[in-house]
Amino acid sequence: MRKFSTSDLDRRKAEIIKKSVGIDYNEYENAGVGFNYEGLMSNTGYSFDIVQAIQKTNMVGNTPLVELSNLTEYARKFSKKGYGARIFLKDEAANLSGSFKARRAAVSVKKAKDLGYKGVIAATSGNYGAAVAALAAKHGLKCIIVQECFDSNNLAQPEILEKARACEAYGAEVIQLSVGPELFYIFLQLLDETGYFNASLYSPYGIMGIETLGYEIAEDMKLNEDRLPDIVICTNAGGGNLTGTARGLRRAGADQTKVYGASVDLQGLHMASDDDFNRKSFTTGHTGFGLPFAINPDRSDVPRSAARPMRYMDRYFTVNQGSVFFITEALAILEGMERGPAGNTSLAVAFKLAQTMPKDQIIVVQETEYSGAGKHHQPQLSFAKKNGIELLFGNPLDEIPGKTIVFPKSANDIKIKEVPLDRIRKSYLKKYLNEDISDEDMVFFSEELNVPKDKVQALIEEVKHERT
Amino acid sequence: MLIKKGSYVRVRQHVLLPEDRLSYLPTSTSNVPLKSWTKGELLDEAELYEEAKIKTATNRIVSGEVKELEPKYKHDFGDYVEELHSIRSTILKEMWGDEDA
Repeated sequence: MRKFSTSDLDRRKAEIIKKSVGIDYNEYENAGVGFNYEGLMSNTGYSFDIVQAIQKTNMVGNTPLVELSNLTEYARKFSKKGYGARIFLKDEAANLSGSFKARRAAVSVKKAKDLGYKGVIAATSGNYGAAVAALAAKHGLKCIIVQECFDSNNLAQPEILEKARACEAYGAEVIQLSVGPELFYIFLQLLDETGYFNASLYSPYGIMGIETLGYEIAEDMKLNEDRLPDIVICTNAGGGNLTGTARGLRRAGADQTKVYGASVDLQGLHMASDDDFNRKSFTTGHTGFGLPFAINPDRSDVPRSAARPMRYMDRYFTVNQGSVFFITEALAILEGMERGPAGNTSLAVAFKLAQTMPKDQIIVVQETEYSGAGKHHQPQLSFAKKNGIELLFGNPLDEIPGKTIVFPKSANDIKIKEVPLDRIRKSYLKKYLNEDISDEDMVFFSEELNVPKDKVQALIEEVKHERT
Repeated sequence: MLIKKGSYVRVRQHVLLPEDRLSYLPTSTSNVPLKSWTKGELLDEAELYEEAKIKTATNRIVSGEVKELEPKYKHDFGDYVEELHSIRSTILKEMWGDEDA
């Protein structure tokens, strides 16, 4: 055994990645710190119509957008008169493999097939694995899914075990690893050994696949409500869900619709810690991915991530684990929909936000995910208890991730917190303080952070000031 | 226990020793080896807990310690969680009132 960080693999990583995604990212690099994002997104070889057609032939997309009339009514019980926006939910569990991730996988796996790859590989412990495995099965391609799965006591989150089972049900080879970021090197090694396609969540294919989701929401709303939604809220982890949805909304002309992000608050837990690994009850949709990927989108498995949430996010909220479990139960018991739990993060936030919006407004929660053994709030909570997490009722803001899960005593006690976007923008800019910033770079930052250039300049000054 | 050739098993590999792990990890991670598990068909008969080679679903040949014969999916819907029961009552009561809760 030898260290990966000094290995031949580490030296060849750029070459391996290039060969495995079929994209030369260097072609899109600008002279300064930026790159040509729209160029990258438009050179995939697939138009939007083709993406829709690929998805249609693979039982992906065109999922029902349902009004949650009981949950809306429930929220109105705690709203002042005339308030309580209508809550709609896009039932993405209806996709092949049971989540919106099939939208991403459909395009990636089709690309792999078109380019002549014999198989696909994805590094994921989440729904994306099942999505890639299912689509690979349909295209007759081999599939390897690499999961971070066990802690050093060989304990695994029930929902990760379920996802491994689902991948195997679709014929994939599942490689389960103990905790640690060296997973990336195993992933590289496998790409190198097999010559398979890297079905990265962060490639342009993966993001284009979600544009249909935002587009469908807008079109569905126009057709059935004769208007566009006021807010679309996305559970945010790696940022692809929000990026693709927002791009799709714009494509359908919904440029006045606000796009919000929502993550489960797991601040305080270290994502690379063996100790902390099984002390969380959400394996995705949480701040452990949401914040770092917003601050540095290019920390992914491709040189330039196509998931760039800060370009599109209007506001960002966090909610505690106990509130998401509460709303997951409400969705089942009041709407007859057993879904989630991680996908219900944005639903918990929407339930609270709806109460601050006039009755005639509309908030759309843009995903659900399938539920089953392991992948359900009861096994996740049962597992938490066994790992010494205390389950309490009280103020959700008192929850300490890794120590307690605090459920609201009433739906009225669900609490959300707003993450100031300028805080993320400043953390983003911090990386470039020692660089020579050109005019072209300023334009890039302005697009990346969705603020005018003078605001970027002001934020840079603030960061410099805070440093001294 | 001798396991027959062709049997479906789970094998485990040690990928990295603690001293070979990345330098910036929290100690709870850097103090333990990085391990890997995968499943496949045994290429030759082998003893449980001994090294053997398997062929995986993608026809890769992988060697590792045989940990489990015909591995079972053990995840389920978990134990009864009384807090969830209580949440359910709260939701029904707040939504439909006392009588129908």
